[in-house]
Amino acid sequence: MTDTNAGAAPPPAEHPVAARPDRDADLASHRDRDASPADARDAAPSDAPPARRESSVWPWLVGLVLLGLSLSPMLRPLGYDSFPFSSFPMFAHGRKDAVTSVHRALAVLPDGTPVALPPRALGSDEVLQADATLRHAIRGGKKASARLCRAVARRVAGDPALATAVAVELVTERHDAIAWFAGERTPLSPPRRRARCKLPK
Amino acid sequence: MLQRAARAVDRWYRPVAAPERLAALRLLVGGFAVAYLALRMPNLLGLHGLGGFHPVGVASILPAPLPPAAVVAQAVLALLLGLAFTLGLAFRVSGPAFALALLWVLTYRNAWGMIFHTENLLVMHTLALGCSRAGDVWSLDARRARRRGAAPPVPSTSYGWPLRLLALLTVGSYFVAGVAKLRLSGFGWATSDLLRNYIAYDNLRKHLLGDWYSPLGGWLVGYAWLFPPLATASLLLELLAPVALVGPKLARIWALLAWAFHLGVWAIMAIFFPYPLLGLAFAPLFAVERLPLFRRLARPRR
Repeated sequence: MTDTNAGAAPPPAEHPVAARPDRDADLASHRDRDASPADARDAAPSDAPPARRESSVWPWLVGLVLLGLSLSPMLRPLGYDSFPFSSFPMFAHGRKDAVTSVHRALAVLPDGTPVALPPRALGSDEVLQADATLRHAIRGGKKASARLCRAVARRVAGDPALATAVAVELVTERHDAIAWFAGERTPLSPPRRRARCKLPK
Repeated sequence: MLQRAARAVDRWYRPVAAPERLAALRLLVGGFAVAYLALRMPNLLGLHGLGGFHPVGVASILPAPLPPAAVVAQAVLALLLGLAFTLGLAFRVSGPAFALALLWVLTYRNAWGMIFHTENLLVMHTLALGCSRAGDVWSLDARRARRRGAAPPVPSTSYGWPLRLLALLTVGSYFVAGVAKLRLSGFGWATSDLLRNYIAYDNLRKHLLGDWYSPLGGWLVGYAWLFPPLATASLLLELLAPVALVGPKLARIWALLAWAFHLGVWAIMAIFFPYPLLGLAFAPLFAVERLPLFRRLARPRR
């Protein structure tokens, strides 16, 4: 089924496309020649209408604009990221080790046990969007962290699965991720509490 | 000499093609986009509850988040336009309109501090399709034209260039990703522990944030020797993406490897790229109109 060469003039709509023999592999070079209307006619069934070459302005305009924009991030500053035109810098930056700080939202049970909250407690079903929300609030300082903490607490209060929770905490933990997966679960330094708030009654 | 080269490039970029393949891509890409929007609807409608509005792309014109009612309206409008795009209803209008609506809605979703790189190619493909005549067959427009007694569309360059452009956008996006790795980290990206560190970091982050992670990836990071070959293969796959444009055999091989690459990313990083994993990113490289899915549409009508 592979065909990078756009397919030269298979039959028009009224002809069963699937009925054509699969000659794709052989048509690779043939189909490039098929760019000419005459060749296209040759490739089509005898009762097929003639092929047409149309104005080139619109195709080239659209192609150059879209392709130019999609390739332009290569000429932008390092790490350029946007949407939908991006240099796709995720996982491209140098990372000399696996030491990382992770911000977390935790529910605290009456005996003080912390329970990791899922992304939806932060307002999104997307984990990385939830992570961004958390990062943004913590970067924003105490007031922003407290505001997010209260919003999370409201959501937790409405979640029957966490009915016993008494508080919510936003914390930052520092781990060596490779050591963590090797079984070393203790954070590299004591978790840093960014905000704590009680659940609304 | 220069003129001959320009003509050759033009012939390559604008081959004569029948309208069916382009229509099949409209159905596949449009259908995916509609399903994607429908599945993401809770996320799209709940964006105003998030903090940290950081507009990117076309959303940069917004000084502040939109009111919730506007967010709901834009998501519903995009979904309705997507249905018209996919079914080929008034495609001359719904094609570009849906492409712009999808661009806007997904850019707005990406304006909350996190860019979802799983969506870039979908939007680029939709923009290219929306600017083409992808609704000329296998569409409600075509059915209406047939009832009016209009002649069926003939093979034309109008149906060839969008196929080339979609393929170029696919390989271009992989190539750009490869270049970014070289620019940011050099060949050290492939030869060092960098990929291993990222896989460990990304899995741990997801786990601690209460989401799915890959236990397989967590286990594999214990074997450092695995990662330089994996990283080298990934980088080569991205940088050599343009070979897929050379011919069908290379396209088949590259697409298969790229698909396997995404499967690997899913398996060891729990990052699901639905567009390439469902084969849609690579569909412009294939004779997709021959899929059994379209057999009924291709049947002769009396």
